[in-house]
Amino acid sequence: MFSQLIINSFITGSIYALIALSFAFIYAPTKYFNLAHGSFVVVGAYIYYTLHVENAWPIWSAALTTAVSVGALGVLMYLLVFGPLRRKGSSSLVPMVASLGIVTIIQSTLALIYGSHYKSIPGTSDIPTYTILFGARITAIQLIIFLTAVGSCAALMWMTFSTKFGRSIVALSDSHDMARIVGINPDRSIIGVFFIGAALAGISGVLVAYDIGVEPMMGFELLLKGAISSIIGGIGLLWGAIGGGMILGTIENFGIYRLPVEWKSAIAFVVLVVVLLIRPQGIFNGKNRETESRNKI
Amino acid sequence: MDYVISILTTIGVYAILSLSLNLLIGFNGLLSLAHIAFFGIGAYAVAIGTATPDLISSQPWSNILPYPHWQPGFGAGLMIGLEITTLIAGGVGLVLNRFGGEIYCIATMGIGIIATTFFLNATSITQGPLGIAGVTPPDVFGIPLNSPGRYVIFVWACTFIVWALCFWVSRSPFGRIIQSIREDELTTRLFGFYTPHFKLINFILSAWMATLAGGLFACHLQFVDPTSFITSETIFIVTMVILGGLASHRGAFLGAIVMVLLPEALRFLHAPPEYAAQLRQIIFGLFLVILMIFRPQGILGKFKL
Repeated sequence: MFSQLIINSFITGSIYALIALSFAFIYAPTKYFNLAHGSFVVVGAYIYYTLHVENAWPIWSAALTTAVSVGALGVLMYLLVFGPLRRKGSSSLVPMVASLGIVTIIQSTLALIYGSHYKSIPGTSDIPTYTILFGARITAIQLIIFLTAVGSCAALMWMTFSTKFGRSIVALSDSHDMARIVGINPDRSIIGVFFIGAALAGISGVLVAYDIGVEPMMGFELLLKGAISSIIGGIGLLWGAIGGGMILGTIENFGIYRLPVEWKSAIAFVVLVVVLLIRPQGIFNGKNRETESRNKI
Repeated sequence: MDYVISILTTIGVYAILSLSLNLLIGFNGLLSLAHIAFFGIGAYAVAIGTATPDLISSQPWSNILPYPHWQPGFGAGLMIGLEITTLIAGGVGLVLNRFGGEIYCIATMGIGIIATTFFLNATSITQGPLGIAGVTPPDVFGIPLNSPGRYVIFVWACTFIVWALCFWVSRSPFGRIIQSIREDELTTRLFGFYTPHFKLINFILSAWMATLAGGLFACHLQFVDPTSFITSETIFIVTMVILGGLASHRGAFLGAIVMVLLPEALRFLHAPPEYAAQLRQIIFGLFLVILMIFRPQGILGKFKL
């Protein structure tokens, strides 16, 4: 039982880590607290459902198309909403409230198109199950979910720390003005950030669709999980987001071993409050709380 | 005629909600998404108090009560609701006042989601998704408010009292301090005001008004179920406050009027009911986005978010 809980924690945790990582990836250079991020995940899940289940596309092309189209949605949202707000120089709460409106629009549009019923990907029941590690069982799908999430996280981390574009994002998350001085165009980089962040959200949508299925109103739940993971790990830190996601997944799985499953969000919330009270700067943030949080990636 | 009266009642209830949330968002600058929780507590307290006589006596803990078959009615039910709200808002406010901006928003959203989970799943108290039917309006000074005409007067009397209270609060020294917290919290602290206390009192005051609105709402619909207190309703009331205007009491009324009348207008366009609810949400979302881009303080607002 204990080893099974650990395996489940790793699978849930890896999905949360991916959502939190893409959330933090957008937050770090732009400082936009994008409440619509959870809805991107849901949009990804629905696009994948349409392509793979309804139109019988093969898995790889469906997943790739999902990632690209959700990325395009992210760029569209930046160009239509966040870009104009940025040029007007508004405070940080304004983009947040605007993204609250976007959540509503996305949720209701999805409910109009697909109906508000639960949808899951069929044919995932008759697949091989492997027994590993003291009798804990893992299905092939869960294994693939875990590997995909870990692979996506690794790819993003590699891109951030080893490519020129990634270094420019690190610079932007430190200071927009300094980045401009050394010849980085913030506008162009931020469009790239939105594309990659939203595309990763789309991929995590595919994983969520396989893991638990999808319904239009899931966006807030997923956002809460991603944002809480990112905050408890240290907001704006990429490694912190991954660690926070794993921690949250573990605590949740051990929590619902004792509590009814509906109280998942309550558990996540309690974790958030406890961490913020004990360590307001986040678990993996090395700086002490008095330091002005100039977020490094 | 009943239709018009019903709309007027709804506007009154939402005006209370909007006035109270405006105290938080508009006057104190705290973007709280937990308001729907207190609205729901008020609604459920009144519904349980008036509609389900056997509910309390069937609970396993009812034998600790002095009168197991006691049915509280509107007044006592609302009082119990206010006490629960005080406890929850006090505890939540005490913790959340340490955080600012975005984390405050996420944390209050968590409170809202937990409240929805509770209403939906604590079936022994709230009857879950079935809801509670048969909520009855109260008697006031011996006059039963059983007709819509009498009830709308009662609701608007409450709205007027809440408006007067909000008006007085915003002009009082207390109101000036919470507005200066909105502008600059650190400076306010330097002047010797311990700001967490002021924020906490304002939060509880605002939650009380939301609880009252919830009680009136339950009696108006005579039916309570969890769909009135889900996250998208949070966005509805936040849009109401921001649309009308931040830090403006007239704006709160305007927001309530527009946001209640707009879905009714959709009804006259003969949209099919299953689409109408979603269309309503899409329009509110568009409102919020467009307002944020072009007029972040709302129509009559005095404070930019």
